[in-house]
Amino acid sequence: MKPPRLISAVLRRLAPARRLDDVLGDLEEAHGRRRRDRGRVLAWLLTTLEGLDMAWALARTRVTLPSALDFTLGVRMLRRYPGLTIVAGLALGFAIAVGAITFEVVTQILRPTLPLAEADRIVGFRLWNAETSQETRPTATDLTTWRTQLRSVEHISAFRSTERNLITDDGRSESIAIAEMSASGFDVARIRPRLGRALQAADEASGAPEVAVIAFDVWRDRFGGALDVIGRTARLGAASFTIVGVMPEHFGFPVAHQAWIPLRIGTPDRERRGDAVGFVFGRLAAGATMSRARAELAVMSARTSRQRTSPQLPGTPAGVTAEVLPFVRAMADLPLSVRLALDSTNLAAALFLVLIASNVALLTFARTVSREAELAMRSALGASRGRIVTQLFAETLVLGLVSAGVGLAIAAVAMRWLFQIVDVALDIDRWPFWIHEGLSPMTVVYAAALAALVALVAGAGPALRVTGTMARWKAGAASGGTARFGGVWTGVIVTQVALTVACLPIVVDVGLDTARLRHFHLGLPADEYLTARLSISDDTPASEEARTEPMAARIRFETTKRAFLQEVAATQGVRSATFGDPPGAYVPLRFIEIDGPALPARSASGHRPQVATVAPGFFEALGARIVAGRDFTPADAREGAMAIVVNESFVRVVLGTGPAVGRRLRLKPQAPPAIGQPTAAAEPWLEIVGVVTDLLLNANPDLRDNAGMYMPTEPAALPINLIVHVPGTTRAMAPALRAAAARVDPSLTVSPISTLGDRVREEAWFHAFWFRLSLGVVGLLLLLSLSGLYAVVSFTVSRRTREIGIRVALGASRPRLLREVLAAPMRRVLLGAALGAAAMALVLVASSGSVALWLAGLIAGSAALVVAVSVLACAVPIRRALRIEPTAALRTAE
Amino acid sequence: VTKRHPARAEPLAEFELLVLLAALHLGPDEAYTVSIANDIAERTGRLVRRANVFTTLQRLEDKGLVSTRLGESRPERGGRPRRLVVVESVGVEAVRAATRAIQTMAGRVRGLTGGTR
Repeated sequence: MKPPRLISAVLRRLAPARRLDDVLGDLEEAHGRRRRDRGRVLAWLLTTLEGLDMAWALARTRVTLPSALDFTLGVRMLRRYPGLTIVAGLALGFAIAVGAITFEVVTQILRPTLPLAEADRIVGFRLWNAETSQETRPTATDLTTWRTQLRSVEHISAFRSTERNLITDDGRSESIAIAEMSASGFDVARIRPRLGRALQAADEASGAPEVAVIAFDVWRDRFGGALDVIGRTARLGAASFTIVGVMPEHFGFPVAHQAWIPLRIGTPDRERRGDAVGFVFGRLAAGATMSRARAELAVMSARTSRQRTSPQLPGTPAGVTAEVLPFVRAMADLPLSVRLALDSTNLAAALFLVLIASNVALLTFARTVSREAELAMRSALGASRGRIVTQLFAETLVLGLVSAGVGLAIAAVAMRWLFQIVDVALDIDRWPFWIHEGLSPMTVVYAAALAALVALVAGAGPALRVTGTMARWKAGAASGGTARFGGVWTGVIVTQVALTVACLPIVVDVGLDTARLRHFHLGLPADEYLTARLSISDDTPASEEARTEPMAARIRFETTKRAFLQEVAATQGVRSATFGDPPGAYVPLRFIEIDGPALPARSASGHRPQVATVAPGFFEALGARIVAGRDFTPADAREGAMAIVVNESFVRVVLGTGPAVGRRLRLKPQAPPAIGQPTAAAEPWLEIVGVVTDLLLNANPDLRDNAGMYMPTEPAALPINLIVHVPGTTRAMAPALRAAAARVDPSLTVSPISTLGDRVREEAWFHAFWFRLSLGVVGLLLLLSLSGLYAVVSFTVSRRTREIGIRVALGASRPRLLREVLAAPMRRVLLGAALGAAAMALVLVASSGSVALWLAGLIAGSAALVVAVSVLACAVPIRRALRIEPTAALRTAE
Repeated sequence: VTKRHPARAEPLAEFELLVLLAALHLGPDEAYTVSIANDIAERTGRLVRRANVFTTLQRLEDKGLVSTRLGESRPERGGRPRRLVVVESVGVEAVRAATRAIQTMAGRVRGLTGGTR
């Protein structure tokens, strides 16, 4: 009655030879007894389980776990080799920081944790139209149906986001993010107000008093943290609200909201807008699971979809299915390809760490080889290969854990920078309440796992390689000289050098950009100009009017803008105010066609000036002079007028000599028509009516010139950029601007307000940051390559001590010895440099068609620099090699 | 063959004590992994993992508390012999010390063993 074969085979591999018969005999005896007592099937099952249990127990006895002494030795090693500790610690720390930041960011995007009680039970609803393959917004009918029929989700609520001005008694007006939310939304969040009460179902009734709950920061900043705030009234846009509650700090549910007002469904205003209620969410009922909720909704969705074809609800298409998803995913579901791409960045970061760890492995390999005699001694005293590898693994794990500590510290600081950068780049005022700058406990665990990966690559790898020659140690070759650097290490060094050579020109380029940006001059005193975005808040009568009666709205917008500009101009301290693209901001570049002679363009597609839109009076307000022709007039802004103004750079770069005023040009289509599509109608000819002195258009160091043309902005255009010249205290002007907007129209919002100087400085800071970061990365790469080369050369020299000594004694020429010692490492460096230069050249050719001479020089220069520094790194070990006394060499070899 | 004889026996873990008691009860001709596992299971009503008994016996052998010898070939074991366990005098002493300690401690607790001191 043989036991299962597979189990016997596994045990045969794991059991020690002297106990193999005992293990197999016990198994067979127990199996036979079971077959008699319990039948064939049960016996087979129980014996398999027992066999696996035995296999696990045997495997555990075979694996040598590191002891406390191994870790103590690891700490001692850090002190004994300070060079290696610093170089490897910094490089690994940087790579672990990259890994930790990537993990944290990807987790916060793909698998966010809401800081709410039982947050994983909060769900969102999504409607998917199969016919149009698009998401549709739920209606009040959907909300009511789900509320009344769905059993597995409770407190089903909805919210819509709006931006409105909060105008307090002191006349201050600032735009805040408001959630029009069902009262039950607070039950979903399960957070009690800090003061007063949350919204209640009664507040949602049509005709109920207007009430609002405000966020902690609004209470602190706008109401001075007054305890008697409850019951006070404040204006939100055009309407007055009574404040009934203050939420605790950091509460921004559902996204990044600062005030909550009741969502009223079924009001006439809503019916007109197609009855949409925004985003619907709820909480899984007690005992319900996500899959049960999905199944219940699927059944109900199929039923409602059939009913949707009824004529009472025209415009609501059939074939719409509803699904329930985790809250954040329902709100912004990323496509699978994006999710996979984001997840794979973790893998890329881990591979980067492996590359750095491979470099460190080069150093630890050299260190391990230098301890060959000590390890041979331990082996002779009975230590198994596993024991020695475990010791070396534990030593490197200590280094990895120290690096993980350094990496987490770097990551914590870098996360704050990252948020600043994204704030600047995307103009983000407030983040969703679940996004945080700190590192989560999961990221700390992940960093520890990365430390273990480091120990595997840089500790166990070299240890296995060195101990591979243990058999020879036992055979009496314990004096060393048995280990060799292999192809993997050669590959690592070549890759490293190639990366350094390829990256250096990029760093130089970014550095040049940064330097140029620092010396940018906008053509005006930038700190005296404030810029802000003027818009009309969403969901107010004014924006509603724009949708329903566009002509009337145009007239109203135009009047409002004019009145606002007058109000601002009349404010004390303001010298002038205008609308238009602020200098140094982003304006597009367009290819143009010139009517008549023009200077040759750099690109084959023609000249490509920057195109800004400005209001009449813009140039005067910004202190630019009209040097020929005239400024825009209000008539130029009307439909059908074709006037443009160009700057002096435009005349110099595009038109050349001769009068510019009266010349004609037109914009080329943005993109060529697709194959089979008719060619787009040509843009109309535009006439140059004036030439203006240069104001910097784009603060973009990559642009070679400032050639630009200005087009008149439409009088009714909103939102629009506002520029105000305030020669005195610019920063104190922000509240005055907001108050002016509130006086003209409570629904006008002015934000964000900053000086032109600040904007350019932000841009410069952004570039400087990238410069420092890339410089740091390349510096680290270079440091690692050099340490690797140093390790290789010292290793080669120490292996050949005896041979070099004898050859020196026999009168070998020093230059020849020098060539021989340098040959192998320098071959690797030259190969790496050639590969890096070739890769960079290929990338440049692929992206721009050719390599400019200065860039080719830069690439060659960086390759030469890397080679020169590598030769210097080899200098110390080579000097040592040539100074070896023949007698000393012979003595050490004995 | 015993590898190491400690000058003074280390305190026994509970499962080690059970294994030694079972081996003493079964005697040098009947005590081996399978019978010891069955004996503990029958007497204590516990679910005993044979792998646990195997590794405990190895540990006890390393400590010098038991020694082992091979018995005769057995057909139910595919012709393989049993590895019989002999409890050494140090092992017996360790069992005595452990049981004495338990009795001493338990004896002071009223109502636990039926008597008090």
